[in-house]
Amino acid sequence: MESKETNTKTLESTNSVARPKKVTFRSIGRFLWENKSFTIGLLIVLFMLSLGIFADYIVPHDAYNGNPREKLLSPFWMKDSNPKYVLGTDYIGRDTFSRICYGLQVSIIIGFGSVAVSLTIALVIGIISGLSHPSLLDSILMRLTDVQMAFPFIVLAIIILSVVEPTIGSVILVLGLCSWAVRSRVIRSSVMIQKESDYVAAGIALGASKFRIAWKYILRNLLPSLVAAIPLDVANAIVLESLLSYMQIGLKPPIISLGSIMGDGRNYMASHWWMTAIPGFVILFFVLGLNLMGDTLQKKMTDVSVKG
Amino acid sequence: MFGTIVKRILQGILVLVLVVIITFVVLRLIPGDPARQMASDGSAQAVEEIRAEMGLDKPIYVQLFEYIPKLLTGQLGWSYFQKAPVFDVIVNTAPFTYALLFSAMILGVIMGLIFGIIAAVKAHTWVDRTLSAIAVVFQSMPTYWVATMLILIVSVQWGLLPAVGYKSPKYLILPAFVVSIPIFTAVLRNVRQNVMDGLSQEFSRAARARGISHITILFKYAFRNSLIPFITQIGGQVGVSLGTCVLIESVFSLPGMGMQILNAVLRRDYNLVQGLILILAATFVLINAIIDISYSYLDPRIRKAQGGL
Repeated sequence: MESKETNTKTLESTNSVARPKKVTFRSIGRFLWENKSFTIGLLIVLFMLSLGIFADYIVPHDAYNGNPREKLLSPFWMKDSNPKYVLGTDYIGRDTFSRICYGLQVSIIIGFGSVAVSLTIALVIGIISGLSHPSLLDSILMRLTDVQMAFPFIVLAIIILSVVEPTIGSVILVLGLCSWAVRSRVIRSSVMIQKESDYVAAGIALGASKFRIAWKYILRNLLPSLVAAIPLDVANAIVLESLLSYMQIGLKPPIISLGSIMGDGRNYMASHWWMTAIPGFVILFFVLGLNLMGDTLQKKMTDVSVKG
Repeated sequence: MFGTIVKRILQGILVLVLVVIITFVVLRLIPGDPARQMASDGSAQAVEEIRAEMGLDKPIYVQLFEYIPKLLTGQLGWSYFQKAPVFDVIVNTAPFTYALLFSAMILGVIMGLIFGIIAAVKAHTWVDRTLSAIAVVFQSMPTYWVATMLILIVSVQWGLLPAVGYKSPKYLILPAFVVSIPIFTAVLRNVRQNVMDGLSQEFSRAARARGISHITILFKYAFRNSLIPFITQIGGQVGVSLGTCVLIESVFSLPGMGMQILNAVLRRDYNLVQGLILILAATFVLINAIIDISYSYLDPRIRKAQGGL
């Protein structure tokens, strides 16, 4: 038992040749300089994250209760605006900027939360079916992913949200349950490739348990591609959440969502178009930032796998 | 080859059976009783009568065992709120959804192909960078928001195209454009990457050395080689786009399956929801099966591998 442990350790330490270089400030700086679209994306995302996370300290006005004397104000660049309300106010005089900050907070929680859920499901299903391939279990799990992909998301979401009360938690679960299939396919095929690799064969020869193979060998190798997938998946989840709230099947007031701010503006669209346009632009920029980051990370991943 | 097709069809049928069962059970677990909404006087007796008439008083599994044989003989049941057979509702609404999906696919694929090839040929120049920037911005726009904004600008402000409802094919232009945006960006990126890869391959360089013209190399060598990843991606896009269609139909109030399905879920019109979900899922499964089977025609290597099995 003792010798087995040390054997695995030496194997891992010989692997260190292939480990990435040490991360220094200089190497981070070079990465950011060489990948400018990533850096732009990162800056946008950091800006949006800080607006959302520090919303409590930033917001200039009460986001939940309006000032009826200041309702339907225009944003600062138009006439009929009040410099105190930068992005204008809605139909009951609530400050749009303050509401957007809280909406971002909700988007961030739901975006990251639901990706955590969907990636966990995708990992469990992908690894189990990849390792057990070819088997009945694998076929069953793959048909399940087919079913998820064949179901139109919006219908699934409405059906689930009419059973459970739409809260932040339940919306996270719905989005997570509706978006794991594609990732689990990717993970499964990556596991199947790894299963044939020399280091897994070496691990099995050394007597490593199935669980240890899955956890220490395969999961560790999946991590970089999972991290690279996070920004794109979060972006997707943020759009879907806002959509549910916009269609009034998602979060209910008093919880503020970017989608419901947009939905509130719908009735005033002909005369006050910015009430719908501004939250949309906020989502657009947030998602753009995440996409720019995600694209670069994904490209790096494929470059590495092509070289390797 | 024949074996693959049979296997693929059986898999597709299995998926559809699972979709039917899951929808059936989940719908009946939702709180909210269609009988109560339909009973005219709201008395308990009237509700019970309607429940018995609809078969809702029996346990779920009994209802399921009664439903499946009917389904196999092609009976989709009766829509209680539309007061018409589910089959008729589908026949009346499906053409709108398929027309929307089809025109959006064509629009998106053509735009994506043209600009993807241009970007690949002009790789790493300002043309390529501009196209990639446009693609990533388009990709980041929430489609329902674009739909709302387009209605506002194109229909309300400029008065160019009709906004909601359906009277002539003109009413499909805006929705089709909206649905085509994600297809366009995905195809553009995919085609750009694969054509670039194809152009840098040995066989393309060898062809250039033999003096074959750029256009021939582009289409006969580089593009032909990117067909498989391209087709695979279109298969995936069909599923996503069907979902987008359902949604965009409700923004534009198009009388398609999307509008029907949203209303049917809210009214607990079980048979109609069941029928519509089955049709949407079947569309997705069918298109993907066709794509899987078409691989072997496109790539002789896959054909050979399958023949060998």
